[in-house]
Amino acid sequence: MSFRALLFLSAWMFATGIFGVLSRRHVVALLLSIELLFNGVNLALLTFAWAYGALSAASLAFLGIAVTVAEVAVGLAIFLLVVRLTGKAAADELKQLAG
Amino acid sequence: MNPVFTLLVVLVMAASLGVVLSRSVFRAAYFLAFALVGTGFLYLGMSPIFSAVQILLYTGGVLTLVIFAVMLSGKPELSTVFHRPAQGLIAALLVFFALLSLTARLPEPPEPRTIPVDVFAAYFFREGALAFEILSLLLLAALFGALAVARKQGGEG
Repeated sequence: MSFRALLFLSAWMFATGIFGVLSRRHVVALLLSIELLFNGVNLALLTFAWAYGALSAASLAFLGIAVTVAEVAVGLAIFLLVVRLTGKAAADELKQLAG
Repeated sequence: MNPVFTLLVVLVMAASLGVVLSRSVFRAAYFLAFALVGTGFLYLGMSPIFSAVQILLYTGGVLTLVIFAVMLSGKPELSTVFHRPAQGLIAALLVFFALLSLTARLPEPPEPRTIPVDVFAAYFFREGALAFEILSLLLLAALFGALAVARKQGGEG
């Protein structure tokens, strides 16, 4: 276990998640990329908690995991509703909220 | 460096690339499962309780939800996967190198130690009790919100 390698992995996950959030078209793929972002952040927080003994970072990771689960449940419910109403699953084709 | 650890890190990196690059959302979800379980194994050396939470909640809960949602929607893939991938790639590279330059400046940690569960629990319920209670409200609200949004319009239930 190496401190630097874990932080490198966390940065890698966060960057791939950024690419997914900005570039994927499918709404569920966007949600999966957001999961990747959250996971990268959690990994960094736990690495800090482990390396420096910062328990506040571990509590933040704990709360973050639970918030992510709630977010995915609501996001998928919205996705199912949107597919049922419009028949589309591509984020750039959904323009009803664009005003 | 431990070869198992190196292998795990490389596998998780490849799996997170697979999440954003694979054409079908199903395959992306499986890659995400792989990345999350790999991270869960990495947590084993830091804090075993987080390893359990990671594998149970994320892989057991979230991915089951995702796969159900994709199955129910009947739209596992689109004709074009990406929307302006070049800009996304540039932004991702910028973020990656910014994060790396930040981590390079960190001081070397004193001596990493596994976080004991009892120490963490005592800290969490002393300092974060209010956050914990608010979180339980959030989960309840998310449960009702998801039910209200996803149920059939005008139906009985």
